[in-house]
Amino acid sequence: MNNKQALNLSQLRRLWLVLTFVIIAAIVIVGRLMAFQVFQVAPWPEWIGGEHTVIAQPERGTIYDRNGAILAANGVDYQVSVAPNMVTEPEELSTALAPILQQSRYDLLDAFEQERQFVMLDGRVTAPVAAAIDNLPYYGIQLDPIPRRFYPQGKMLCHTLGYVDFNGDGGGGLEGQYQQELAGEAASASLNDSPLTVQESVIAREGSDLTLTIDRSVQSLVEHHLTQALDTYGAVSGEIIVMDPRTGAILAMAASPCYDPYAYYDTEDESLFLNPFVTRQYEPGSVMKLLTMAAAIDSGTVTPQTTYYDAGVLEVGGHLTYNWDLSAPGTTDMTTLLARSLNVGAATIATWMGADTFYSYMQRFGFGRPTGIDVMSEASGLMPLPGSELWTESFLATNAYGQALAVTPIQMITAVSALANDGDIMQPYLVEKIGSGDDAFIHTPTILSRPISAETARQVTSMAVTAVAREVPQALVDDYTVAGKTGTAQIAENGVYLQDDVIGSFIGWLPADSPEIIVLVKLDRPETPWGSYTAAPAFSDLVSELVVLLDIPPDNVRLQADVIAARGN
Amino acid sequence: MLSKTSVWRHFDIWLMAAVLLLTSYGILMIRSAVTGAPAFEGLPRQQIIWAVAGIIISLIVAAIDYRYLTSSHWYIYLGLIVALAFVMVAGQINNDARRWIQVTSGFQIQPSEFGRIFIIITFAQFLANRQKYIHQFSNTIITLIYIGVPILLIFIEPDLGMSMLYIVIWFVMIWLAGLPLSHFLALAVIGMVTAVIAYPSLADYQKERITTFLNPEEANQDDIFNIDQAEISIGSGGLWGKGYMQGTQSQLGFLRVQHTDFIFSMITEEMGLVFGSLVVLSLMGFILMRILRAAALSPDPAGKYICTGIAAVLFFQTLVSVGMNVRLLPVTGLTLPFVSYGGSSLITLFFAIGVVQSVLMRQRKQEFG
Repeated sequence: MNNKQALNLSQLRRLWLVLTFVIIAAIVIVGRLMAFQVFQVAPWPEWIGGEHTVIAQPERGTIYDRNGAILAANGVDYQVSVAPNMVTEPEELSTALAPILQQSRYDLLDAFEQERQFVMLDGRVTAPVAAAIDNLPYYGIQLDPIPRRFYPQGKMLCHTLGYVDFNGDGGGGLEGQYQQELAGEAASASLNDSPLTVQESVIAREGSDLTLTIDRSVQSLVEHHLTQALDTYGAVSGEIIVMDPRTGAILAMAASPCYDPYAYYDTEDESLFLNPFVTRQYEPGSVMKLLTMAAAIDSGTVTPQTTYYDAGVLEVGGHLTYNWDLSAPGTTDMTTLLARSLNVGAATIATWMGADTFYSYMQRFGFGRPTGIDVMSEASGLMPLPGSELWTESFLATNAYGQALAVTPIQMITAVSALANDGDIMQPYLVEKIGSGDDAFIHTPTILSRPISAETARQVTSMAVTAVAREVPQALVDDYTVAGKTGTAQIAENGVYLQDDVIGSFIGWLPADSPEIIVLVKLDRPETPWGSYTAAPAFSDLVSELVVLLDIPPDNVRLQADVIAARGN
Repeated sequence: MLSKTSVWRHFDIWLMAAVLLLTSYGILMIRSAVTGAPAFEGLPRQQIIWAVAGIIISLIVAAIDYRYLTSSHWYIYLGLIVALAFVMVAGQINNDARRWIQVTSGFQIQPSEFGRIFIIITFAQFLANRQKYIHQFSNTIITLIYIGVPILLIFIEPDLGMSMLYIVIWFVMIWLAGLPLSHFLALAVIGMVTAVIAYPSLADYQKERITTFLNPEEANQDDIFNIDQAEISIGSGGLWGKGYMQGTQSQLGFLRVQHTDFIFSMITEEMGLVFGSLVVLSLMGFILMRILRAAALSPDPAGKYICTGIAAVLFFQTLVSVGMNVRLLPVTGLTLPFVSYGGSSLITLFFAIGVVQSVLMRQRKQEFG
């Protein structure tokens, strides 16, 4: 009863009032909790059984040269967007951002005032621009990285490498050809939202790296010489291919003009995207006589000593063939035929062989079908065969000296490489290795075809050596024996040969007795029309430096070494 | 000896048990809150040390007659003013607020934390002494000045939440002491009239300051984020919770300051309504009931006011902390008593429980005296 005394009635009443307030507050809070935790909660199955999709994006593979120098890698661009409700200082931000994004300040202010969560300002800016934006002391701008293919060597190897579009798809060249290998495979899975289930990890198949047969130093030298040759001879475009005839490995592949693979979308001339090595076709001209001669010798139709009578004109199928200088040299042997590049002679031995033999050889040399080199969009060339409606009898003569058929540069060098490799044509290729480590796929050199015997190859090579020495001294390289042949082809446009424009080309291989490289130089529309005065000296300039870089010993050094080795045995 | 044991017979074992239960629950949840944050890994252990120290302090305080404290109330009051003034002059600044005194490197105390208990003790005696003037309006003004001095010192630290807590202490205690309704209404009217008259003559930036004062951190993006996360945590906890250490918002670091200000959200996320919020709130309710029981049993007015003041502190802090978590009240940064991490806070609360026990244990003596 002391308690009653201790607490008078007024105090008791006041205490109850306090308690009432406490109870009301408690009810409000518990009510709020119930609202959150019981009534607003999604039903059980929804948040226990819910799923979400996880996508793991793989990284695109890197492209290396044969020594591991990076030719194509992954960089980052940024997407710039704004969350308008997060912008605290629109005036200052728009003033600072306008010059960086090259957009009008009023457009930016408009964007900041929109009643949306997200407004895109620029779909793609480069990393330095993004860094400048990131350094602005204002809130609200969001930068999201987006992948972009980066080419550290600039325009080098442009047509060979190709480019990667903004969807991550390779366009042209190796990027297109090896899209699947380079891109890898994204993995996606639907994962349960519940924290109680075990979360499986989603792992993408990463893109494989490519290691090329290309040597960056060789490529750089070749591109340099191509630019120089175009400049010196006033040619509008051109290609140089360097190949190892023993394996088919492409050591360098240069073309001009180029597009910039990093900013490929800025290229105004769409025709630049046609790969000049494998897609664009041309009439090979006199270079073809090497193969006509090889076919004639291999088929036993002629020997190097065989002679024919050159009257300066030959009629085949109603078409008159003249020599390029309109000469009529009379009785001529096979080596002179090659050296002086006599059209009448080539047509004559083709008629001796007959269409069946001639075309069967030409098919084995690979004309009219793609070589299968690992670059996107290879064309098959055009060589109408007897029986097709495109073929007429006169083609037997014109084809023999490289007219009325279309080839790609890669097709031409591949065909001639038979002469440099004892009659075997090796499969041309660019990718030495796919992937890395134990799982890597490594290319094994394979024979594409065997059009002629080793004996024929050596005979024609030796004839080509004499031909170069006699008629095209511009192509000679000091201390090395060069075998080769010039070609000057006319350019047909809309079925009519152009009067002034030609394609000058030269294919040469060396050392002639044991060839290590074969080089095609092709210059389009030079100021001087003849291949012997354009492509041949360009070949010589290039190869005299190439042999040093590729460590090919001069003939005397090599032969002495052979002699010493022989004595040692 | 016999008389001494009889004193302990009135020790409220239920109150102590409830406090220990709530503190242990808090330590377990702090353990979950700091998982994965290496910088904070020592906190649960530290909180255990504070709790043990707190228990010992509360037993010692219980053993001492609270009337020793109330009889020296002027010294305690002066000491508190001096400590708060010292903070003003030489306090340690953390997060833009000058609230702490650096005792040693790595050890700081917050005088306003301890002060809330001491102000209850001194104000209780002050009120008890002036009981006979309670009906005079001048008395009400004098009590306002008495409590106003520390509030002003705390307010300029600045610490809005703590200032409001002191005002609540004043109001609850003087209400219990018998503040006439007319005085209360008069104060309310004076306050509102002043505000209405003064407001239009203020400059724009001053008005803005007042609105931000009333709704302190409304514009702060971090707080909006925190509140959103707190709501997601509480809502997704549901009836039964996601399980201890299984909360997504808390374990993945979306919820910030989850071992102090937002511990209630993380408790409800992981333990749900039934084993989380209701457990914490029921324990707190039980503690408040036992303290109010002590107030009812206390023979002298000072003891009664002390108990209700302490109950008011616990209730107000719980209300504000939980209210902030469930988006009922603005973010102020008051902690959840016994549960949130914090040495000053925990020791002070145990000290307060000790005082309540002391009041309870002295009730028999009064009978005989």
